[in-house]
Order: sequence, then C-alpha cells, then structure tokens
Amino acid sequence: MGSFHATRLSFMRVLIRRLHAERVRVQKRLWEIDRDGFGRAVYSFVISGRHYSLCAFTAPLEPEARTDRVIATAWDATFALFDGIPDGPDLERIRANVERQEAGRYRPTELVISRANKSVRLFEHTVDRLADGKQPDADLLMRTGYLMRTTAVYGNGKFGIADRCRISGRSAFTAPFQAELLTVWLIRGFTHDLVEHVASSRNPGTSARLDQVTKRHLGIGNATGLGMAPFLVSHPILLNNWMLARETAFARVRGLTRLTEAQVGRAVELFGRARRHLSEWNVEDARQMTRIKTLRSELESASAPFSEEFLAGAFPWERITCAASCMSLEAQELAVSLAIEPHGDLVDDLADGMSSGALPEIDPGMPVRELRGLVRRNYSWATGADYGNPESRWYFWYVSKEKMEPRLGDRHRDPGAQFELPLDVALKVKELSRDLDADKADGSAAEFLARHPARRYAVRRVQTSANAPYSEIRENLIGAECLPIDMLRCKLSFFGASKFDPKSDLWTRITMFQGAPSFETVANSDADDWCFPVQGA
Amino acid sequence: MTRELSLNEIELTVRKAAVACGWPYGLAEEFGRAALWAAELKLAAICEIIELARPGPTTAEPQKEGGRLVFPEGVAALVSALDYLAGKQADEVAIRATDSLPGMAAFAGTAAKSYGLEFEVAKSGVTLIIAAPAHCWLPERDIAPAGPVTLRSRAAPLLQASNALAGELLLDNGCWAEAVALARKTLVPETDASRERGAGAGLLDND
Repeated sequence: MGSFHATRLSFMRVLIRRLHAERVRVQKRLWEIDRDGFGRAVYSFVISGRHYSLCAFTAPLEPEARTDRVIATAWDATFALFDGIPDGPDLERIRANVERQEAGRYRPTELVISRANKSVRLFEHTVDRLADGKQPDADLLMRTGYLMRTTAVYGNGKFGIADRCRISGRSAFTAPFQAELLTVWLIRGFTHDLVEHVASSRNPGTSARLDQVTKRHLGIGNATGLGMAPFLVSHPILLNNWMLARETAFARVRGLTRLTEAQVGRAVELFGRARRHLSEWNVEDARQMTRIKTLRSELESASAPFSEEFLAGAFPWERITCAASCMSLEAQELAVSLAIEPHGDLVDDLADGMSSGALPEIDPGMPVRELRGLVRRNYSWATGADYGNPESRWYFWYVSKEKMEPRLGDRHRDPGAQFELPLDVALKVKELSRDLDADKADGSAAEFLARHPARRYAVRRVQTSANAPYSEIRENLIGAECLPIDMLRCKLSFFGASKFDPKSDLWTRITMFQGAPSFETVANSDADDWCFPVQGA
Repeated sequence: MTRELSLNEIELTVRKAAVACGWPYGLAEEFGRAALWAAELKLAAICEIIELARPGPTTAEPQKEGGRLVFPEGVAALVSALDYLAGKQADEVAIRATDSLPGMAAFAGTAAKSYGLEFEVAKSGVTLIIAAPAHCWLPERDIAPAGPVTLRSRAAPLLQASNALAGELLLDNGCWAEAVALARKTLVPETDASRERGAGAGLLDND
C-alpha cells in the first residue's frame, strides 16, 4: 500500500474525464480581488445539468501565522463549493464562516469547504516573473509544482456541510470524492488566475499570462496527515471496492494476449514519460529518496521489457509483471499503473464500482462454525501475533480535543487510551477468536453475540470479509512497526496524487492535478493524457 | 430552540456519546445508526436514544419462559432480540421492559434497514410497524412508562423511495448539547508532548 502510484482509475482522472466529456465551461462570475490579490471571487459552471460555484476568499496572512497543520487558525485563502449560484447574502454568510473553517457552521448548500496557503517559494516568484513578462523559472517550477497548498478539504456533513447522501445520487458525484476533488481542481484554476491578476496589477502594460504548458504543470499542493488514515479502516467495503477495481483492471490487462500497434506505441511512450517523471521527483526524506533512486535504476534496466519488440509479443503485460516481481515494491506498483494506462476502453468501466453506500452488516443467522472458519481463513495475520508483547500494542489512535485531529499516542506514556479509535482490528479479532474457541456452543452468530455483546464490532468486520476480500489492511495498526504514511500514500494514490514527499512517518506533501488540463483546455482531446506528469509537456 | 445538523454529525456524535458512556464500539455503532435512522425520518427519537445510552444493563441473553424467548431490558438485549428475529432464531420474542418506545423504534428501524425486514412492536395493546426507509408510525405520546414489549419480524414489502432528506433537519438544542458533551469526553486533551508528536510537528511548513 505504501508503494502505490496513481492509475487511470484514480478519482481525479475519473473527474477530469467527466469534465471533458461534458465540455464543462468554468466562468468567472465575480472577481473582486484587489491589486495585492485579496478579496473574493466566484466561479460558476454546469455539470450534468446542475449549477455549482466555487466561492474563494483571500486575505493577508503574516508569515509566522502560515502553517499547514490542522491547528492553524488563519490561511491565505479559504473556499466553499456551493450547490447552485450564491447570491449576496449567501456570499456574506459563507465568507463569515469559511474564514473560520472548522469553527464555522455551514448549510447543506455548501458541499465542500477548504483552505490553502501559498507556496512561499513559488507564488511571489511567479508574480514577479509574470510582471516582467516572463514565465516562472523552470527549475523552481519543477521543484515546487504548485502555487498553493490545500491543508484540508471537508465534505460529507462536517460542520453542517451537505451530507454525501444528498449528492451521491447525482451522476457527477457518484464516484468517490468527486465533489472534494472538483473543489481542488477549481482552486487550482483560481491560483492560476490569482497570480496573473497580481502580476498584471503590478505591471499592467507588459505582464505576461501563464502559458498553457506552465499552467498544466502547476498543480495544487497538499499536506496530508494522520486524519486520512482512519478512513481506510472505518470504510472497509469502500476500501475493498477500490482495491477490487484496481486488481480487476490489472488482471484484465494481464490477460491480453497481444497489443495493437497503437497500444505498443503508447506503452513505449508512457514508459519514457514515467522515467522523466521519476527524474523530476526529488524529496528530502532519505528513505523515500532511496526508493526513488532504486526505482530509477530499475527502470533503466527495464528498457528491454518496454521495447516495441517485447511489447509486441504474446501476453506482454503478464511477462512484464513477472519481470517486475523481482524488483522493488515501487517498481512493481509502477508496473501496475503503466499496464493499466493504455487500456481505458478495457478498464474505465470499473470506476463505476468504486463507490459504495453499503455498510458492514451483521449476519445474525451465520452459523458460529462458519464464523470460526472466516477468522481462520481471513485473519491468520491478526490471530498469530503475540499481543502480550508491548511492541504489539505500542500505539493507540485517538482524536485530539483541541482540533479534532486524529493522532497516534504511545500507550505506555500518553493518557487517553481508554478512548482509542477502533483501529486495533487485529487485536479485536484475536479477542473474538479467543471467545469463539472458549465458547464451545454451536448455534448462530446472534446467539454468540447475545453471550458476547462486546464482540459485535469484530464479528461485523469478519463477516464483511467473507464477500469483501480486500476490506482489511492486513497489518497490526497499533504495533510499533506500523507506518501510517503507507496508509496515507495508498489513499492518496487512489485520489490520483503524485510526487509523494513524506515529511515524517505521519504526514506527506503531495501534488494534485499536476499535468491535468486547465479551465481553458479541459475540452481538448488530450484532456485525459496526464499520467506521470512531466515539466514542459 | 433548534439547530440544523447534518446526518453525519448526528450519527457520529451519538456514536461517540455511547462510547463515552462505556458501550463497546460495536454497540456504540448501533446507537449512531439508530440516531441516523431517526434523523432520516425526522423522528423526535434522538433524545430518547441519547437517554438510552446512559450506562445500564449489558446482559443480552434471553431466557425461555413459556415457550417464548424473553430478553432482559436494555439496549444490548434489544439489539440481540432484533438479531434473533433477523437470524430466524425466533418468530416472536419478548423484551422485559422498555422505557422509551421511540428510542426502541429507532433501533428496530435500523435493523429493518439492515436486514430488509419489517418489525412489529406490540406494547399495551398497541402495535407499531417499523420498516425502513419508507415509514414508521409512532404515537404522539408514549403508551405507558415502562412495560414488556413483544417483537415480531416479517419480510418487508417493496419499499417506496424516501424523501427524508427534503427540508431542514432540526434538533432540540438541550438534548443535542448533552450528546455533544458526552461525545467530547472521548476526545483526548493535548499535552506538549502530543503536540510535538502530531503530524507535521517541528517542521517548517513554509516552502
């Protein structure tokens, strides 16, 4: 999971394909931004027959107040995705609350709220260069890749925002996180407009606009922390559906007996692009940089499998998979992304199955012997551990009081373990297994739960695994060896993020929508061709 | 006074309130789901659900009396009773006592939604039918303060689509404040050490 790369089934790709298919036109409905870039703006557009608007608000921010952490109380920019077109009172109400983010209250007309901070490196530099009639420095652009970073994107009922069930029936939002990612794409477009505006204000006569190549390479940065990790555990059916789609796509392409000439050419092109993408992916984290360097050298040696001759042979993707199996995990997972990419006609339909409104349920009539069997077959990774060893129960997950932020506590010295979040799935299943073994009675799950009501959570998860083989992260998530960063990367790869830049074991910077089409180019024929983004493309 | 809340907020807050009251997580989830079901139908049952979350009996095993399974009082027993009916361990069960019919109806509604069943709840000569998500009828006032309840299940007919999301969802402020206060007990106060070990701590965020 910690080595996944984005694929064409990633949710950003799904979004852009829809925006392209509908030829969505984003219009600037309101632009009250002063010469220094502060004020408000509204962008409106129609998707699948309904109007939506991004409301954007910017304000001066002292450098010492600029932080990406959830504990921040002020930001360079704040946003809301509005269901419809906001009127004056709507905008005032939204502004009064969205500038407070979690401390505000929202209405069901707000579908998403977010905030972003400027890239200190790149934002001012870009304004200066554009004001001089020039494009930003290519090297700085490559090293940063975004003008602003979002630090949280909230949806689904948080703080009074519209519940997901209110919009999940709309075709535009059926796939996972479409409203949230649409908001991020719109914010990206706003950042392009903002730098151009400030540059033009400084030098009206000769300032330049961002060229389209530069615009495409400017994504949106993001700082992703632990808050994202519990989601994968608390949504097992959703996680299963994501993994199942990915694995099914991979299985389909592996089963291809031969590629067409066009597909061979495309695969060779993608391989070259992936290598250039990797050359532009540089991070400070020593462990991740070692993995990237290993990946680069492995791709160097993999030129033969990605030659036209090799790809023109029988079962090319199966043979490439076998070749990659002795390489690093990063290389193996990159091979998955590369294999799937040229075959949209074969796999894009799988995106329809990646959402789920279903919840894990108890099957009360299941015989206890069947429940025991599920534990044995699907949870040996959990029941085999020694939870008497302090290292197996090192951490506990909890939510902080001050900022409602998930954190990882040390069980042996931090208070609060009595309120730990239920990410200790492995331990809970072990305890269930112990009670199943001790409870000699047969009968049904309902009867077992009447005798052991505290095992309800574990029984529900075990029973869910019967029809959802990818529903569990097969790892002790409270053990000393647990690396939350791996969970973050997995989820972010499904979002479609790239350029993973870990800052610790607990959070990472990423870039979203780098290489994606802009407002002006989303209707272009190459709108879906932006995997492995490279500068200058 | 009332306030507007999202369904997500209601479910999560009630679930956390149940955790704060000492319920195991699997049963706390049932509290949250019951509140969600009541909220979807805009039923005035959420306060009763929160009241039921207060620490109480946790035994759930039934006893056989006169050929019928009789469950003790309390939410754990109620959830088990619904499991028994849904798992076809019985066609009819009794629950020794229940203080809150609306609260009980919400748990039955959740089970109806999960299992695709209808539940018949009979108390003091009045029978309620609980099905999800289409309909639930509750009397304007509770029939009797506490008393035994008979619970039966049957297959649900085809359900009509619900418009439960139409309009605003409002909730009594006093009741909600109590739920929030309970839920906040599950939050862990930060310390200097925990702030330092939080994500992003100690690093320069500006780039």
